Amino acid sequence: MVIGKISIYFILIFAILSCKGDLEDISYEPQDYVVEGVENLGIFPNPKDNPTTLDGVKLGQHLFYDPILSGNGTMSCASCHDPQLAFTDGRAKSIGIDGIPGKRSAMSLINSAYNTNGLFWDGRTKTLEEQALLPVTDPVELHHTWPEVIEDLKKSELYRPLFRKAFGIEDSDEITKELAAKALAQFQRILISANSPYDKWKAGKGAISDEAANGELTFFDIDPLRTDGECGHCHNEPLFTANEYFDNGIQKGAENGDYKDKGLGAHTNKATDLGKMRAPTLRNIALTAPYMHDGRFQTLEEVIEHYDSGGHGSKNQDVLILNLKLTDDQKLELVEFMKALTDTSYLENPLVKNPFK
Amino acid sequence: MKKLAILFLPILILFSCGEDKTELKLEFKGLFGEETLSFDKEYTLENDKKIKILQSGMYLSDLRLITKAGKTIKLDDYVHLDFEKNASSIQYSFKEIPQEEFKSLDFGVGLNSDLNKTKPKDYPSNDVMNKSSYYWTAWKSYIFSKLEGKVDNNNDGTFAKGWLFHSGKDEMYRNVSLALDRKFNDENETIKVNFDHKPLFTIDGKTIALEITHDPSDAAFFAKFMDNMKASFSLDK
Repeated sequence: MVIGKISIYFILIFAILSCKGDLEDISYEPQDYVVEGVENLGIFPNPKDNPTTLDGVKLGQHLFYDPILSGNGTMSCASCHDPQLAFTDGRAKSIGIDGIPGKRSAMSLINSAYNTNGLFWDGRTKTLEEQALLPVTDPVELHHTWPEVIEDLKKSELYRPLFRKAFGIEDSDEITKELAAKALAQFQRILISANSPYDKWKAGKGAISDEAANGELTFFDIDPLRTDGECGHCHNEPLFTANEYFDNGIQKGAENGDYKDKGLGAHTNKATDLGKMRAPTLRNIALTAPYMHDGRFQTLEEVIEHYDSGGHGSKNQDVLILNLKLTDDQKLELVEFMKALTDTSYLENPLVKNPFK
Repeated sequence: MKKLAILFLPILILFSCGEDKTELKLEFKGLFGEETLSFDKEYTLENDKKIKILQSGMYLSDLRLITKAGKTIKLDDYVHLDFEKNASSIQYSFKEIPQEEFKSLDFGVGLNSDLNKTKPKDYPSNDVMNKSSYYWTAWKSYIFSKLEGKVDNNNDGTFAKGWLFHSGKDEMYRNVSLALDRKFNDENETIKVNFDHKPLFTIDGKTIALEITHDPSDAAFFAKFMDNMKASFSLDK
C-alpha cells in the first residue's frame, strides 16, 4: 500500500518535471537588429525592456500586415498605414472595419522611433509600445478585443514559433497583448527615412532643383532678404518635426477656446493645450496627402496658403502663424523643397515589405 | 580577542568615516512680479498694455557650486527650463554634494560656446539638447531662450497680436552668480531659484515693443534683453 502511494507520488513528480512548454523545442537565439541609415537623424532610445531584434521585427512585420488583428478579419495596421504612402492611407479620415470614419487622418509612421514626446496627433500615449495597443480595440479602427486576438495567435501555427523566436517564451500560453505590442513597436522602429535628395545634397552627394534650394532659404530663414517662412520652428531638421504640439490656427470658431477637436488639451486638461496637435514630420510629406489632422487640404499648395494667411485666430494659435506675405515664387519653392524630402528607400528592406505577398 | 577588537576598532572607524554628502534639490520657479507665473492669465505692463505669456523656456549651462575656498563643484553641463510645463517648480536633483560652505550658485543663461557648436542630432532623441524647436538653422545656434505671448493692442479684451523674443548665438550667453553664503549640513538640502519675467519687458526704463523678434541682426536689443534675463534670477529667501 505504502509502495503504491510512493509510486503514485513519483509518477506525479516525473510527470510535472517532464512537462515541457509546447515551444521549447524551437530555438531562441535573439540577434540585435541594427537600424541603418540614421546618421542624418542621430540616435533614438531603444527601451531596455524591448530591444530591437531581428526576430522581434519579423514578428512585428507579420502582425502589422495581418488582418488577424481586426474584428472581422478584413483590415490590418497596413490598411491605414500603407508603406507606399509613407505609412498613411490617402484619406482625410481613416475608415475602420465597420465603415465608420475615424476622428483624424492616419499619421505617417516614418521615423516614429524618434517620437519621444508622445504619439498620435494628440500625444495620448508615451511610447510605441503603448500606442500599438490602442488601434486593435478602437471601435472606429480594428474594432476587436485583445483576448480574442490572443486566442487566435495562440492557435496559429505561424505565430507560435514567431513569438518563441522573438521573445523566448516556452509555451504559447505566454503569448500576451503586451508582447504583440512590443513586436509592433520594434517593427515601427525600423521604418527610417533619411536618404532623400535633400539629405544627399547636404552630404554633397547629389543635387536638388534651384527652386527647392531656394525653398530651403525661406524654410529656414537662411536668407534675411527673403520673407521668413517660419517653417523651421515646428518642422526643424533633421526630423522635420520638432516633436512638439502646436495650435496652427486651423480650427475656425475657436477664438474663445471652443475647439471642435481639443487635441493635446483633451489629455492634459490644460486650457493652454486645447487645439494643439503634433507637428508631423515633413519627410515624405509629398506622399501623405491629404494634409492636417483632419485631412482638409488636398495639396501642399493649399497648406502653404493656410500658413501664409495667418490662420483663423483660435485662442491658442501659435504666435508664428502670421500673415507672412510670401511671394508666389516663394510658395512654389517651398513646395519643391518639401518634395525634395521624399525617400522611400525603406521599401527595399525585406523586413518592411508585406510578408504575406 | 577583545584586545584585538579594541586595536582594530579605531582603524575601522577611521576608514568608514567618509566625507559627509548631501543630496541637493535645485528648484526653479517662474514668477511675474510677486506671483507664480501663469500661462492663462492677463498681466499689465508698465505702459498699461495687457499681455498673456504663452511660452517661456531657456537653456542653462555649466551649473556649479562655488565653495568659500573657491573650489568648483559641478552640478550639470546643461538643463532646459520649460516654465510652460511647470511654472511653480522645476526640480533637479544632484547627489554626492560635499557638505561644505558655499559662496555661490553659478550658471550660464544659454549654452556655452562648446555646447552651442553641437546640433540636436548629436544627442539622443530623449535628451533636452535634441529639442530641434530650440535650434535655429539660420543662426547655426541653439535658441538660448524663448519668450512668447499675445497682447491686447486695442484694449478690447482680445489678445489677437502675437509677440516673440528668441535669443541665441554665443555673444548672447550670460553668466549668473547667485550669492549663497550657506553651509550644507544636512543629507538633503534645497536651493530655490526664482526667475521673474516682469523685468524682461522693460529696457532703459521703457516698455519694450512687443513684436515677432528673432533676428540676430537686432543684437543691441538682445544684448540688453539677455542682461535683463541675467538679472531676473534670484535666490528665494
